[in-house]
Amino acid sequence: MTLLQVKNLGITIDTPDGRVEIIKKANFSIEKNDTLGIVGESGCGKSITALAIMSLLPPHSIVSGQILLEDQDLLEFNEEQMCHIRGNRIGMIFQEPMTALNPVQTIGFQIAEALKLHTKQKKAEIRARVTDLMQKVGLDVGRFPLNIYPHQLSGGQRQRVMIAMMIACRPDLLIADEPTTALDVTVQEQILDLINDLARKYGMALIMISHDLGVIAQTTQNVMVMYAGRIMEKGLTTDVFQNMAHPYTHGLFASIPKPGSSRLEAKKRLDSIPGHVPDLRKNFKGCRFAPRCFRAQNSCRLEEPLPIALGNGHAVWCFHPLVEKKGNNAPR
Amino acid sequence: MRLVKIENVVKDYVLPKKHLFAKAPVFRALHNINMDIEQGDNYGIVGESGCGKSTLARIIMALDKPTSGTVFYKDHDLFSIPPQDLRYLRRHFQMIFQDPYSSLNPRKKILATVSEPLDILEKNISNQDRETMVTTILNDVGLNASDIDKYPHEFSGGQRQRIAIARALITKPSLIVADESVSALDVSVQAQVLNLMMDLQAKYSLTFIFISHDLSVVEYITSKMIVIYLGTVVEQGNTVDIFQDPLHPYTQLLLEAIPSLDPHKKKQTTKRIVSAEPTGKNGCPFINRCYLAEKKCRQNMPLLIDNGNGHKVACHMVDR
Repeated sequence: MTLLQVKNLGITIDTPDGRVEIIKKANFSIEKNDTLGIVGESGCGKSITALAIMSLLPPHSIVSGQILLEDQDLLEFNEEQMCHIRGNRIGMIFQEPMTALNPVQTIGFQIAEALKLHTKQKKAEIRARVTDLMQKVGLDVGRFPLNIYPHQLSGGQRQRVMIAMMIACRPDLLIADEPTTALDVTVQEQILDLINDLARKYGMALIMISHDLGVIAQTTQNVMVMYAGRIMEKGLTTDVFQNMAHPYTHGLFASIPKPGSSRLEAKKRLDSIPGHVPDLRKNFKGCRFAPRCFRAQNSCRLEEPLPIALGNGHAVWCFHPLVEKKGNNAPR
Repeated sequence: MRLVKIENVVKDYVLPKKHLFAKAPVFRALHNINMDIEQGDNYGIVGESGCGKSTLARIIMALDKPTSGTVFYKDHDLFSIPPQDLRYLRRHFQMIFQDPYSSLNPRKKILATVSEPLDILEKNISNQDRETMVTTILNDVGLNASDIDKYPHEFSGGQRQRIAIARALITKPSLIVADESVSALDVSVQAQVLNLMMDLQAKYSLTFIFISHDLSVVEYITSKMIVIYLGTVVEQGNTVDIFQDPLHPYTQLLLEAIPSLDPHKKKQTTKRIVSAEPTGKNGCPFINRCYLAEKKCRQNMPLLIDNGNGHKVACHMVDR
């Protein structure tokens, strides 16, 4: 069953330099128990999309389209109604656990906050539930009493506290915005395992936002590649990662040093994507990736591409995709 | 040719006293580090946050004095030569930092930022020569000569990192310490900057000391590496050997933790244990997280022993 459906989402923000259309016509949906990855470089609109779902966009942003949670359009909700959704039906984990937690409140208080707001449980019940949640995210209450403060914890432990806060009300959808970017690889592995286990156990759908392709490969079933506010490619993670059709997706992969690079006789240069992410304040014509694309032709600079279906839900927004049809690699 | 020799470096930090008459507790950030850095051989320093990577970088740059041990640059002992000699030597080793947003002064134009090391180290240069030197370096790092009159906020993250590299290069150093220099960049820009570093290395015959938590970058750019856990060297040797055959359980753990790019290859988490048992005073520092740990690991600290081909490992449980 479809849990969240985003239809024709457009986000425009007023800036001193005029109106900037940050997201244009984004369409995607996520099923119950499903995992969706959003991948792309900074400034491509990943986080803004997540904030739009949570209705946490900066003031004066103009949002069009629909964000349907089951049958309700979240964009029509007022602030009070949204407060019943946030933390209760949709939870969000942020990148920086230090800035996301309140430094002057105890962790016990912060985990209990959502429960106090969204449930009518008694104090003792809430306390028992918080203790239980702490155990579930792997923080032993004996070592980490409820009355300690965020600064007494390490980065990974703080992220565990964030996760405990977010799963307190068992939301239907969990959005994790770069949850492990600030952490070491070994801690990253633990946190990703924890998020995945909890999502499976509680039947939560998960939106994993990351610039790290490895994280997306290991945690998601579906993936969406974004660039400069546009969806470039989407489909099953296995399809997109193995039969990548968009030159941008290809470029992202080629930029990463591959394991085993030390065994090569001569060091190969990395195939980086030339140029940098465009300034969205400028006017655009045609495909947004065209200026950096090695397959771009004149037609790419005139019109924006429409999606091409490649089968099995795999779609690409490109005039000259690298894969024409499923399993059929186009000649380079 | 040997460029830098790090000899038995130990660094202790004195922590605040518990009460007025207490003895101040000492935290040992680095235990006995030895490294030989050859000219042209990039050296990687790997470990989790808080393991002492950056402390080691500061000591190599002579920004911090080690408690014991010393660092040689070519034949000069950095910590026993007179200060004015050290100051003269500083032009030969420079540093690039992690965050290109906070490492550039927002109120200084690029010309002033890039030429600052020259102003300090080479005072007898005419303004015109200075400007020519800056524009040449800017061209080398892929920026335009017209950029000298701009401010840092006019550049993207990748361009700022190029400016930071230009500033490090202006004194024509032979050693550059790059402390997490590409971690904050997007993957496509990271690849551009890594390519640039390789090009500059060939052009200026540089040697990089590359500090990173990103193991695939370290594998790509370095030929020798050192793995540090809580201030102790656990494994050291050629990058190829370590990546092909990681001997220490900690290195294995780090390598396994890299998420695979293949969605079909979901990793198996085995061998992960964390015990709350305190590490003995004399035992191996990694004992709490080690799947191989035995009684002897608890009793004495393993020594760093060569396992052939300069591949050294500090573990009791490795078959020799």
